[in-house]
Amino acid sequence: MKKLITKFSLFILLLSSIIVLSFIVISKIINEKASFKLHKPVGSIVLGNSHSEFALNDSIITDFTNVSQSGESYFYTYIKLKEIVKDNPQIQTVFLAFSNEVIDVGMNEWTWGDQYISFRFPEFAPFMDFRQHYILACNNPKSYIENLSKAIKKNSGKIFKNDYLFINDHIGAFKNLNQSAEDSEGTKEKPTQTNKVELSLVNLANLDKIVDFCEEKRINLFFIRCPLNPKYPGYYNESELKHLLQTRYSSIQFLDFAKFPLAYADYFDLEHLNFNGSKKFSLWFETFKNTELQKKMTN
Amino acid sequence: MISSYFFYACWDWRFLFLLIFSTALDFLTGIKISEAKDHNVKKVWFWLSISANLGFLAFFKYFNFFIDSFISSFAWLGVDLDTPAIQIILPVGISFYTFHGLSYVIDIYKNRIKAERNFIDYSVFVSFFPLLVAGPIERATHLLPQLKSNRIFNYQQANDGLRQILWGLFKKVVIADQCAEFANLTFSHSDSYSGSTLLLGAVFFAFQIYGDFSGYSDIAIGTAKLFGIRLLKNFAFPYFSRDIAEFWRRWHISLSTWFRDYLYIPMGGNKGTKWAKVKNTFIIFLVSGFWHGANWTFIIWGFLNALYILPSILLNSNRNHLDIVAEQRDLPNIKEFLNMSITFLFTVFAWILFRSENMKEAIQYYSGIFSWSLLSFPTFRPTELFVLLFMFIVIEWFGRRENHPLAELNLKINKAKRWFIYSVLSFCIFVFHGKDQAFIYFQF
Repeated sequence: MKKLITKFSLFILLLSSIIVLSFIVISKIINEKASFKLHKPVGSIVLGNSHSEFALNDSIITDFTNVSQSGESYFYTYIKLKEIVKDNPQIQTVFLAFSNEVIDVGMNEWTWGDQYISFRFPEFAPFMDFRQHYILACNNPKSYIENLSKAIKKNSGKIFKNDYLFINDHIGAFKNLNQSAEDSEGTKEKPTQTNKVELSLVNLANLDKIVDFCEEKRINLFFIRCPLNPKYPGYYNESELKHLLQTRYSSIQFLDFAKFPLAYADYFDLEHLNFNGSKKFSLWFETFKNTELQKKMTN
Repeated sequence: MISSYFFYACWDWRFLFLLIFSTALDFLTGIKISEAKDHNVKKVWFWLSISANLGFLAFFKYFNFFIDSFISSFAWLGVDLDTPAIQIILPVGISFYTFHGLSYVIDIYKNRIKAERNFIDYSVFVSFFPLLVAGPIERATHLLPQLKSNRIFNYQQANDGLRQILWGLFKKVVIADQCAEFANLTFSHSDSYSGSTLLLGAVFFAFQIYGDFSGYSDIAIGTAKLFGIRLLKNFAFPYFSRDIAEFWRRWHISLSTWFRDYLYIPMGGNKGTKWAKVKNTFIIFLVSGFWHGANWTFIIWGFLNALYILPSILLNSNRNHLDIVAEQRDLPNIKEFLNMSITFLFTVFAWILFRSENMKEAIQYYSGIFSWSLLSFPTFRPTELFVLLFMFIVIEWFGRRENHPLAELNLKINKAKRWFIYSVLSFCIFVFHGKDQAFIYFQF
């Protein structure tokens, strides 16, 4: 019995080493060859979650690309930003979606929740450092191990197919929602949330990293809150948000368009614009970016 | 016993009571049959057990089928029957543990064994957790003595058990689950694919069901070996069969031999006229089809297999291939290769019935295959899966002389190479796991 257990343990050790080693080798190859080169050499990009994903139409705004993606926490945004900037050194300005939910503890779920980890980890795993792996592995070990296998499979597939392009729909892009507010279930007035205010330490820590990274690379960073439906129920932590902006992020300019004048029909639901809404907002943003924002940057 | 009952309760604790009741009933009737001096009393207890076992099986597994068929028949005659709908849930493994109980009672009645007096030993025989939900279907004559004897840890046996579990996991996770992805696509949208794609989908299903079921059997047999118990062999590389009769000697062996011993032979078996032999064969295959599920597709599948085997019965060639193909050689000759390919193709066509939800779907699938688009290239050509299947076939081929391929490798190659192969297989299992496909035979 002892012999069997020893041999079995040795085999498990060997297998674990093979898995870790193959992951390291695959990650190294992907890291060296991955291309995050944007389709056009733009000077500014927007990153963030579904708020910016559906609000800023980059076919309308010049010199600008939208690489936001629904349900993305700053943990993944930071990795993405580093890779995009590495392959697109011309980027001078980064807009980062910043609204009430990004400071909420719910962002922890967006970082290591089963559904989120399974969607993002296989894509971003090769670009993560040890500390980032450690955070995911500690907070959701089951999902981490399950998706480690997906990461190996997916990225070895990329190596075999010689396909190292990462700028595609899977990494984030502008998406339009055709439905209008009148027929959307999501626009029905929801009771005001009385959530206990609890901050997501992991998301804020990664936001700090984004701020530091932009500072180091001398990139203009703007926090942007995209238009929100007047009935939006997520303002319960507004005072905490304001406090963070005045203290921890006082050096960052906050572009607050939450109350941007739009018709009810321009919304898909309480927090997202539909195609018409994004068109109106993007046209306005284009002018804003080239006039007022230019002034702000030169000051 | 407690572990086995806990294992079963994890699926659905409510049916644990049915399992315990069925076990207790067979245990008691077994003793009563054994003790009865009068043959008529013996008969009463025997038929009580048989009726109860088959009654449970009929109610839980076939009630809906009979009601639906009854309503459909009247509807066909123009009479609309308004019957209340009852949705009966099928208890996991009922077909397997019922057959355990039946074989035990029949063996006592036929004086082949003595009734078991220890309830714990008997209940472990019925509900031993590796085989409880999907077999292999054990015999009291084979398993009970092993349960009663003192078992000591056997390193070689446990080691072999681990190897068999590894191979079973590879078959299930890497082969069956990956094939399932494409097979599910073609079977759920058979109207949208070309004939060649549908044929490929059916081939993938053939590998899926083999990998799934024989994979489970390997895991069960391997697990039992860790406890020092040897279970009956359930598969013997059936896709290397040279004719359909050989295929059925190698596929789901524990069920085939059960039907042979408890149905075919009592009906007369090979004795009597050729017509009697044909009749018995058809009955066996129809019952076997019906055992798999309450659906006409399974019955027709059984019928089709009986038709396949008919020529060999008429020509007395059904026992032509009792040996292992190319036993003394590394590769088969052309005749053997052609025979294996044709047999495989026949089974693939029969599996279409097995996989289809209903006869309409099966007919649509067949008509989709037999169209001009059969000559086109398949819509999907998953290179990764082809490579895996090739690797799988090669390992199975070179390991066909043993109970499982890794046992043969163990005998032929050195430790370093063996560990390398185990690592590759385990690595594949790790990389390909995660699609969570349920075992097909759990539904039976």
